[in-house]
Amino acid sequence: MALLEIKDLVMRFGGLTAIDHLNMKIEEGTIVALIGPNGAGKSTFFNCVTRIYEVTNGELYFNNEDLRKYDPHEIIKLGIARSFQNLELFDNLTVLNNLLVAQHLKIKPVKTPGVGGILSFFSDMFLLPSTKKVEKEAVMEALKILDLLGLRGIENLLVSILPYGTRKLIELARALITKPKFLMLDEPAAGLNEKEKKELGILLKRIRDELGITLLVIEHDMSLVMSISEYIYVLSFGKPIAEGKPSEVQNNPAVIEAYLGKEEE
Amino acid sequence: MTTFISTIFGLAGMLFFFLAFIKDKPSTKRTYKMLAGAFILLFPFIMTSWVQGINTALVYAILAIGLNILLGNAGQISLGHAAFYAVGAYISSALVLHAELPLFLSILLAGIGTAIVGFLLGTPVLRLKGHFLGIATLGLHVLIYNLVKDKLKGVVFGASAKMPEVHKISYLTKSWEYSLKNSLSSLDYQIEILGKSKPFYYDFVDTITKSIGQITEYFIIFVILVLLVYMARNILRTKVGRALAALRDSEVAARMLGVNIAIFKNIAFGLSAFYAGIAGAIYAHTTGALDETSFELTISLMILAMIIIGGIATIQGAIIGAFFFQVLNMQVIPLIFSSGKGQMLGSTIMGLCVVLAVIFVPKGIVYMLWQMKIKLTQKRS
Amino acid sequence: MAQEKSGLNEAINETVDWETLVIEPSKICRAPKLDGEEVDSQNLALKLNNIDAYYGKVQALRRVSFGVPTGAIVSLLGANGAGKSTTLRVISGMVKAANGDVELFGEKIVHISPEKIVARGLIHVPEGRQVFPELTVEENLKIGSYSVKQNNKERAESIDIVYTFFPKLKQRRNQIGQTLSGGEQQMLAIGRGLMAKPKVLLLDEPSLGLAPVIVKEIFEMLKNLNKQTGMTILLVEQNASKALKISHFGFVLETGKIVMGDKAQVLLANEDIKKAYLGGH
Ligand SMILES: Nc1ncnc2c1ncn2[C@@H]1O[C@H](COP(=O)(O)OP(=O)(O)O)[C@@H](O)[C@H]1O
Ligand SMILES: Nc1ncnc2c1ncn2[C@@H]1O[C@H](COP(=O)(O)OP(=O)(O)O)[C@@H](O)[C@H]1O
Ligand SMILES: [Mg+2]
Ligand SMILES: [Mg+2]
Repeated sequence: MALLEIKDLVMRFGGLTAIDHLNMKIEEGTIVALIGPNGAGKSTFFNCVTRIYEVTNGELYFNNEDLRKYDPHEIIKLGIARSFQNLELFDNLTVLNNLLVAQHLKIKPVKTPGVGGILSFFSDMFLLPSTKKVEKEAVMEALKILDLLGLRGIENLLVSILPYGTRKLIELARALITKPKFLMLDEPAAGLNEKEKKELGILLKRIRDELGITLLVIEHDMSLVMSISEYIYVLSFGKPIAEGKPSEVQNNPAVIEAYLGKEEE
Repeated sequence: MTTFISTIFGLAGMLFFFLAFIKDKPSTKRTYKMLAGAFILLFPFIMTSWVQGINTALVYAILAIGLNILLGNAGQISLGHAAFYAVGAYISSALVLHAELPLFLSILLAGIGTAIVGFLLGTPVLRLKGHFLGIATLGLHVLIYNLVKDKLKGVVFGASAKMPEVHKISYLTKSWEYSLKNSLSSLDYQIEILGKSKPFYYDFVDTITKSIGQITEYFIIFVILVLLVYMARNILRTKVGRALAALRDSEVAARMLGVNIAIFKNIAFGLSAFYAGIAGAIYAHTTGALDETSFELTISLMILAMIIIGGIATIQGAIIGAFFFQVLNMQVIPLIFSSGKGQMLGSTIMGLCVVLAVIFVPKGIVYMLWQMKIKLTQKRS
Repeated sequence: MAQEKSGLNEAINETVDWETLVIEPSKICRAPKLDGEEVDSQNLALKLNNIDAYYGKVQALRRVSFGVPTGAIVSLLGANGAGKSTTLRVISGMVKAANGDVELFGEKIVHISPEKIVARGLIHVPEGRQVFPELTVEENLKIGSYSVKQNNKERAESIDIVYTFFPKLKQRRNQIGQTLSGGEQQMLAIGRGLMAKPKVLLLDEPSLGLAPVIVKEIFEMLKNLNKQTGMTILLVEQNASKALKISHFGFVLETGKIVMGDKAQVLLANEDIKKAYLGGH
């Protein structure tokens, strides 16, 4: 059984069909890429899976659960995390606080069922030891992730002042810290230079190998896509035009025509 | 002579606050903090004529902290915040008058009650965004204003719309007032009948006796404010505060991380209503005269202006803004325009202040102070 | 990683004559244009002289000096956080330099407000596509032309030109900025910059988030724009090899300092540059 299964997905905005009958199956433990020209519907697909958009038609299953039953804020409980193409960081917070927000569900000083939320609130209000303990754990967790991404030292800076590429990495860190089963990254390499892209490729592989996280990556950098992904879906104008192993897709005439462009030299 | 001393004293106090804020070295900072603390304790005895105005500023500070949680931290606007101020005032009045609960318990319950009202009203209202939210909260204000005018006033207070003396905060020290008055009259007796000379402390005791109610209020409100600041600070630094900031900065990202934004917007509304409720309750138990004019729209707008001038999304900003406005209102304006006209010109000047602040210190006084602090440390290094 | 970088730094320090490079930028600007014509390297559109820039206490630029000859395409390369965006911000007046000056066609512009710099024909398309989220594509474009006072007919012409470069935008002309796909927003940001018919165009990572075909098109377009109109272009790009291929000159920034500058072909062949920025092996 696939981890994510999409059947006949259609997403329309008024007259525009952003996704047109898409089928997709993602097996656990794989790295899958989603590519296609700008405006093909890739980010829209992420928004459908994470329930930000109500799909026009079609079925979405994650781990055999019907995603359509869930609200956007419940998606994370299923183990789905994502990053955004246009950076949706909390700009007025520090890097550390961004990573603490990501542990929102985990930070719960009082775990009593039912009234735990309210008791936690009072514990927070008076900074009781229970609060101090979980806050400290959350901070340690955040520092650990920053270490993993080689970002230590910037934890107390406001994210808005950081260079674009670094902010992209913080979005990755923020998604990772939620310990997802399935991670969807929207153009993670944008704003990184060639060397940094290579390092990112290695990191993404490590995330899959060491943390066992299944990855779905939207990316335009073909060398990165080719080097990390095991399977590729190609969308163009909302329609799936090809899918398959990287080597197959790379040589597919339709993909070259719509997306890659002819090689010059 | 006394005005001279109190002016010097006041300026020194402000200097202490400023230095305690700006200094970096822990030992120096502690010294100035202690001096500022001493200023707070001595203030009502030396600047007695200011106490009433400052009491109002303290209440406004509570209101402003609450609204700032909603506006600055959660990014949701409310133009009708005085409505919650009224709700708090009426709940507390009803509790002491009709349920005969003790004063402080009813203030606390008024806060909680108002928070619940805010939380529930938040549900329909907070679906809206931006200007629509502004208009809806304005509507809320009109609703409650009329409710007070036509119904609550009569139901809670009967015909008089007055809070009996026993339910006022100042009543707590009534016995001290009596004994002070007694000793004053015995002094009077000695001076007038026995012909003794007036002791040097006579005037001092006289003013204190006249203002003991206000001085009591000052200390009580101050303690409540400190408690509320402590709570706000902790809330804003932990889970709830972070969730509010998150939904302000990016709703979609907050949702993806599991923040139920609908509930947290309600919580923001509830929290800020809690502060407004407490402020309203204190207002009820200090002035005692409660009719719809106490909760005019201008109060909502003034609180908004305080936050903007003081510094959005910071607790210090809310407090500084409240004091800035109140001092301007009570002391500076009457000083410039002798009586009568001052009232009219007052609001004009306040409007002007907001405009100037938006132009010159767009992020508020607190940020300006922070900037100064950075500059100072830069120079040293 | 950090060690490797400083290694590169030293290597460059040895091979490059620092003083001439840093102080007199025009010296290294004598080179043939791509199509054979000589670029007049003495005629600088932009000249930066010993720029220092700070964010609060953090120094982002240290004595940055370089020149952009009129009619040339110049690439500014460097790792994340090197100060590329800051350099562009200083030029367009968004960030004030603490020291040094910037000359635009021989006139100092460091103390001039950003709007006035725009009026002198310099447009900065910032990174991360800042389009007006609530306005439609066409309205966004129109705003781009306000600084130069075009009448309705001229404006319509400018819009048409942008649409011929980006047909996708024409399809989406009435959609609001917010709901455009990321790539479409990037096109809109560049298109809006072109609306003012600038003499000097600063582009901060124009290929960010664009599909390979479009990236090719954009670089092609920049080359044509430069050739046909003689527009001077200062380009910041992560996609260094593509950028250098269409550029006449390149400069390399490292932690706020210019560490290298040369003809684009020379940089393309440089081993250190290959290793650090071109993804060479
Ligand atoms: N909320 C929306 N309303 C209208 N059109 C939208 C909306 N969201 C996306 N679109 C359109 O749908 C198409 C697909 O967008 P998107 O998924 O962002 O593309 P990409 O594949 O580049 O990520 C684009 O043409 C975009 O303009
Ligand atoms: N608004 C800001 N406030 C504080 N520091 C900043 C700000 N913008 C950039 N910086 C810092 O300045 C340095 C250079 O940044 P930037 O010019 O954006 O780099 P690049 O564009 O080369 O990636 C970085 O260290 C970055 O953190
Ligand atoms: Mg996209
Ligand atoms: Mg940059």
